[in-house]
Amino acid sequence: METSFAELAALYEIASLDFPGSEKGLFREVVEKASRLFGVRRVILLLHAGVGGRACLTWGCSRLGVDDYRAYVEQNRSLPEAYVRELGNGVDLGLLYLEKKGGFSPREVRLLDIFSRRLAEVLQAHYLQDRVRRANERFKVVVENSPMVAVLGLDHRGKLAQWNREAEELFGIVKASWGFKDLLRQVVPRDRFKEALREVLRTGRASPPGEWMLQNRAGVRRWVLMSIVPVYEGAGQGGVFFMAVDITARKEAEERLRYLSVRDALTGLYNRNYFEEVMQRLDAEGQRPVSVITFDVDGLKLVNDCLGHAEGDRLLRHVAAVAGKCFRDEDLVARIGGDEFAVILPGAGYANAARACARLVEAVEARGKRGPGLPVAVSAGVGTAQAVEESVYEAFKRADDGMYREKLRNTNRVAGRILGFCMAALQEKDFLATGHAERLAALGEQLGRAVGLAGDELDRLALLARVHDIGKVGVPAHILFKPGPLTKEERDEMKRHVELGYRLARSFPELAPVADLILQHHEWWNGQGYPRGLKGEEINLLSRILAIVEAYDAMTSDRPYRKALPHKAAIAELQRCAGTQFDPRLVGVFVRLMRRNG
Amino acid sequence: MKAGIGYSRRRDGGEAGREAARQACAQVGKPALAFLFTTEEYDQAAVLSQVLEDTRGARLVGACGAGIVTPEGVLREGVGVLALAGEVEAATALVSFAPEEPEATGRRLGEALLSASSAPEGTVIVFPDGLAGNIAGMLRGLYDVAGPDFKCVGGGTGDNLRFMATCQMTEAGVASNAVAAALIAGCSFGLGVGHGWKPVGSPLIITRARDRVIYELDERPATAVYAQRVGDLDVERFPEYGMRHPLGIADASGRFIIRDPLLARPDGSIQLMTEVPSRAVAYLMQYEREELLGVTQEVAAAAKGQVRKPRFALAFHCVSRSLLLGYGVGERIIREALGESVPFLGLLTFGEVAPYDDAPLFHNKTLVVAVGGE
Repeated sequence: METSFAELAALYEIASLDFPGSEKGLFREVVEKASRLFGVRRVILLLHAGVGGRACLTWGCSRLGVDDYRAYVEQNRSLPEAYVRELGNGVDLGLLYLEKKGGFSPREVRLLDIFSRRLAEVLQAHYLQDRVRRANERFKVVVENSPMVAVLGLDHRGKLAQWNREAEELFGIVKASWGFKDLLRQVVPRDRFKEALREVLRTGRASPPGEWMLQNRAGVRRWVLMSIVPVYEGAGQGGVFFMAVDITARKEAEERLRYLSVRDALTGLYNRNYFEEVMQRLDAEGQRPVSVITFDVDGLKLVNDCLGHAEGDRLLRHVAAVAGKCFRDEDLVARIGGDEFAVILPGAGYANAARACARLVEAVEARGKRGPGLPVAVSAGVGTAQAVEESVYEAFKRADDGMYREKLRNTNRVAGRILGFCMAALQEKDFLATGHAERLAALGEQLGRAVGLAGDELDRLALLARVHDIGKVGVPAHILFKPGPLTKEERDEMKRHVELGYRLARSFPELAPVADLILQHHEWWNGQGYPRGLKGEEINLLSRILAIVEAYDAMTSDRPYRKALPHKAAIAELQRCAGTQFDPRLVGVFVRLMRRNG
Repeated sequence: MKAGIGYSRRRDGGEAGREAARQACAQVGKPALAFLFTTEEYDQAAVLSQVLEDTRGARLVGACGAGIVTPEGVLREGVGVLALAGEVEAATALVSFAPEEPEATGRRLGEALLSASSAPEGTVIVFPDGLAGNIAGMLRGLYDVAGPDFKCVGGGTGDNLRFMATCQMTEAGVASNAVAAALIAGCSFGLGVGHGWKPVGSPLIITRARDRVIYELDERPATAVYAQRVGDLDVERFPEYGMRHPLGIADASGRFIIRDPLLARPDGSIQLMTEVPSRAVAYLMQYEREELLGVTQEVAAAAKGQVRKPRFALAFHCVSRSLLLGYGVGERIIREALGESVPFLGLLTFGEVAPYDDAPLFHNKTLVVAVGGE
């Protein structure tokens, strides 16, 4: 065969040398080609930067008895049988040593030079690939175990290419067939997401992190901060990476903060700040007409003072709930003060607003009519900004003025309703003592007259007998009706009825004359009573009289936990407590009175 | 050194072995090493047993082939024994051929031979199973251990072209799917290797191959390209085409190793007799009878010419090359080239082992002659 053809054939084989998957495999290829094509008898390949570090691969050298092949190569480098080439162009990859009996011809050396360079190229490419592979593996390990960032890679066909554990959790990846459609199905809003993706693909630039909502099939929503990163790997190739962080907790906290910043914590309605912000916005936008309704809970202060703020808060929540249902979605209902509410009705003229206001007043009052609860009523006013020249604030002021006028008209009516409620509640709660008040009134009048009372004093004593326990409407039922002995805490709670009754009485003109008497009717002659520890004649006479007749009536009436005491035993007990709990002079008068009455 | 040959056509294995061994031993006395060549019809264990008995404890290496090469021609059925006596030192080994680890197989063989011999140099006569995969890889493994101080020569064991099973032997026993070898020291060998095939047409690029299968030539299905080159190819008669039109793979000096196409596979690939390198350049080869005959003479003469005092010769002749020339024709030329004074025995092989330079190569359609002497 012509040597030129043989040379071409050898060149083809040399040029087609490729990396077979391992350095040992590559060495086998080198040996196969070197021995078959060139008839070499020994091959030594020293690798200086092998994947596993330095390596020495040999063939045909087993019987040389050589430990140091580097030294062997150096020793034989100048022999005609040897062919030695450093591998790598500017990079010290290693060294190739070939040995052939009789040496290599110049033509063979030329071919072997090409062979050596090809070998170096293959090794260099392999090392580069190995570095890339290891870098990829490191990256993969980092990404896959990244504790917070979900990484999701889709190829150019939208098929799942790479993902990590966080992505499995966040996007609900359950199988390798998961793909772009599954992602698209859960991103909200979908159209904006598709537009963002199109933009990324069009520009080839990563999107800035954006907030997206993911909603899975079960309806569970999560918020993510997500970047879309294009990966270009040639025409029609590559794909897209989605890198997302679950920010649901942060969003919820933000939402909560935002909610709190514009909402009233007690009622859930918008707060005054937001109300004013909307007013300003409507003024700025110039939308007209805009109406404002303001309303105020009647008697809230009375309820707070007498029944406690808890009851007052319940009342406010109730009114807020009713109001929230009385208006359109576009209307804004806000709590703008302690007992003041306001509603902005965009687009509503005065007539419509007035009708809405009437519906509100009626709906609030309907509660009192439907059940035995505390009567509720609101005073309301309406204002309308009909033209742009009129500000919404002016409309608000008019509504507020109207509300106050209405409130003045309603004041007595409301107080009467609450008093009626309290009296009814007193009667209902104090059922154990049915007839108690009447008996006390009768006994009190007798004792009062016996000590020289007349006229107004006897009237006050009669009123005191009827309402002295009005404060019990604020005592929880489970304490009030407890069949057994009360604990210390329960006793303390029960004792509050005296002060509660005092405040209630002061709130109603009808009861104001007996407010102080109510406050003192549990004080003791010796100063051991409550709430103020008055003693002797510091205690109003009427209260001292009531204390005696109430004690007598209580002892001589049945209770669920005991039978009524006989008259004599009750008298004896009064006498025993005379000078300590009771006024001893009054007890003496009362005892004589009872004896005289037989 | 004395050498004697014997061969027998007796049908009974024991009798044939006895006759061949006794003929050989009669010429040398108690041998140090015996070569035993058989054909597939025999009870190989019986043949071996009898030959071992008659060679009286000599080392033995043997193989089954498609025929026995004798000075009288080719025995299609028979037993041949070549006995060596004198200052010959021999070690033998028989190892199983692990098809997935050919290099490791060769290394195990080399280590077994070298551990049984203290000789610093010598010749390894090796008989791999000719149906095994990647014999070239096995030879590289053997050479890696033995190195250039030991020449390797031999042939792939075969059968009567049924390609079913072959056997390899040493005094340790008979095996299949194995490789048997003898390391011989104290005897000079002259080696001749050649085939006489010539390339025809433009080169073919083996663009995809693995082991013994070529999938693509010139990046097209191998059978289609091959058929185009040889003309009207009748796939049913593919082996016949393969025998007449093997592929030749050139080395940098223009020498070829030959590869035998064996059959066209349904997937369009071609299975060869022997493994073939991928991403190599091949030529379609053709022969001229006179060229083959001439090379036969040259190979034998070259081998003889390397030994000062030739005492015997071993011939490993590819069975299909022998067939093309006509059984006995090439063998007669070998006898003439070696001369009456050099007894020789050989085997029709499935592939031949011999180096062009130092490292052994595995050939097809080739004649290898090893002349031993002083």
